[in-house]
Amino acid sequence: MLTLQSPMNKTIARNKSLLAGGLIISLIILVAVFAPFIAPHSPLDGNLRQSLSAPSKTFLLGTDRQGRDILSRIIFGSRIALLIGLLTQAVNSVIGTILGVMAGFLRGKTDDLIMGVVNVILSFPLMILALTLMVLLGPSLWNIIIALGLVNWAFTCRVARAETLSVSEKEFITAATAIGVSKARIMFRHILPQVAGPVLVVATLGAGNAILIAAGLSFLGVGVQPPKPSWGLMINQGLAYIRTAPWISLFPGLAISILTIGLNLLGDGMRDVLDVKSRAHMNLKKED
Amino acid sequence: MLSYIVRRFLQTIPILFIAVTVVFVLLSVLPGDVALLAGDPRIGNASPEALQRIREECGLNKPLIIRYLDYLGGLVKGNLGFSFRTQEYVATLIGPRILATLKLAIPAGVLALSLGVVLGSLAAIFSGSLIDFSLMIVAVIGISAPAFWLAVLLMYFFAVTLQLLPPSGYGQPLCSVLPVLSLTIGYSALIARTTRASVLDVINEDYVTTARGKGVSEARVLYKHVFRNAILPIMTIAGLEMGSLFAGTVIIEKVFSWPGLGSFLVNSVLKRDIAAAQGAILIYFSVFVFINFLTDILYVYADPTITYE
Repeated sequence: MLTLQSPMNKTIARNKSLLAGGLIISLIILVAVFAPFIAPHSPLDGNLRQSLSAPSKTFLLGTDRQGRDILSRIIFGSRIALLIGLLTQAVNSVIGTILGVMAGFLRGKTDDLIMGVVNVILSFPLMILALTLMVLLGPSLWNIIIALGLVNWAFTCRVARAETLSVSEKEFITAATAIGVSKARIMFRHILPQVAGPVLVVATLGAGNAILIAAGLSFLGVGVQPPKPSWGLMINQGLAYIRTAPWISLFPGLAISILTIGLNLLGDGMRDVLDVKSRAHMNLKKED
Repeated sequence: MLSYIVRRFLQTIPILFIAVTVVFVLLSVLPGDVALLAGDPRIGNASPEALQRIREECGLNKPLIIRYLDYLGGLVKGNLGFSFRTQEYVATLIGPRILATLKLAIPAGVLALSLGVVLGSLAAIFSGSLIDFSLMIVAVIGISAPAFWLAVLLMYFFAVTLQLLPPSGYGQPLCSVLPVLSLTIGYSALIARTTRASVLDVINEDYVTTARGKGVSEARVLYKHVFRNAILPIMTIAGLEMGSLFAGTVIIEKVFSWPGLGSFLVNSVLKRDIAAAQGAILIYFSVFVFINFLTDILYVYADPTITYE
């Protein structure tokens, strides 16, 4: 009985994380979409007379050196963070999935070549790789997206390849090959939909990581440039005022943490739901 | 065993070769070349003749391939290039920086590993209890919160509010407490989660139940039967994470103005001192590759079922 109960407990516990993560992310998306209606002040224009004001009724989270409202900057900053998470993961997923499916289905030299590149990328720390590309591209929001889009697909590729390898064994693929369906069509019409789930989980968990690295690059001064309200940049700008105006750094970091916690919970939950599905799938097959 | 170590070591050479090539090519096609930099108005206006002279001095008038071969030749001799901005050899500049970074990375690595393994095992042993639940909540927060923000938070709390520790500085042992802690939190959280999962994987195995049934003491069961088998996946993740912990010093050093390799790299990047940045990036890559190499070697020691032929 014990062994039967424990996986069920796990499933319920992790579904909670799916719900909690989904809720957090939906709220942040709403904030980002309706930013101009929610933000009490302008994120870019400040009043120097209000410089470094402590949190108050007018400025709920205080102001920075230029007298800009921290809350409004955090609200608009959510757009930057979500944009980075969404676009980098879109690029990563497309590159990683296409190459992973090709490696797993075509095998042979294609596989060796693609996995060779993947192993090289995974041999280096992502943070330093991204930093190197930022040196080359120059600091800006779009360059962060390009840099992280180009270097962060290796893990997706591995997952897509592994899924493709197991899907390729299934009967419907053999059947499709037998009736003469072209390789390209098999890969994109038959294998791709099967690979989509795991890739989505990797993309969700990877989005959190991408947002953290992007925030780090902006914090270092080689990422998003002022006056954009990037959360990482705001933490950097507040560091000099940590004694007199700690709110400048503390609240944007809280915002990053909430967003990445949301993404991690959502990703963990999705992984679990997908696992459950595949388990149910296997059980069905056994009964057949 | 020795032949495995040698073979695995030889595998790192092509990886490092690719790293050198990629870093060199990427950073050499940069539009702002050293000569233009020297003509930067902040440094002083240089005449076209002077620019040409600087280019020749730097060897920038040579074709890319020749410069690449020169660079490779230099690396073999331990020469990481010459920084024209500081008029020093990059290797001379980097030496003390690496030492400073190791002073953060090694204690943080040891702490993260031991804390992560102990807390993760506790969570698994008391799986489903309040201890487990609260540890895992803390772990999710530790993984999700940016390390540099945790650093700012620690600095605000311990240095500004409580005034227990210095907010920055270098040299005295107390100065390294906050940077080491900020590095440790995230990685110990990651390792704790992995440890919990791998211990849970084996704790319900039949051989563990058998051992308990035979009357083996609980401590011995956990140590000999559970932990010995759970350690392999932990090592895989821990090895990878130690590499990225080393890379993670880049940001933490910036927060605490720690004079390590990371702040050196960031300053070189911001000042467009390409030779210096190249050297620092190569050191980061090499350390990461070396840690992966060490992990693989330890893995073979820890897993008697691996035959290293």
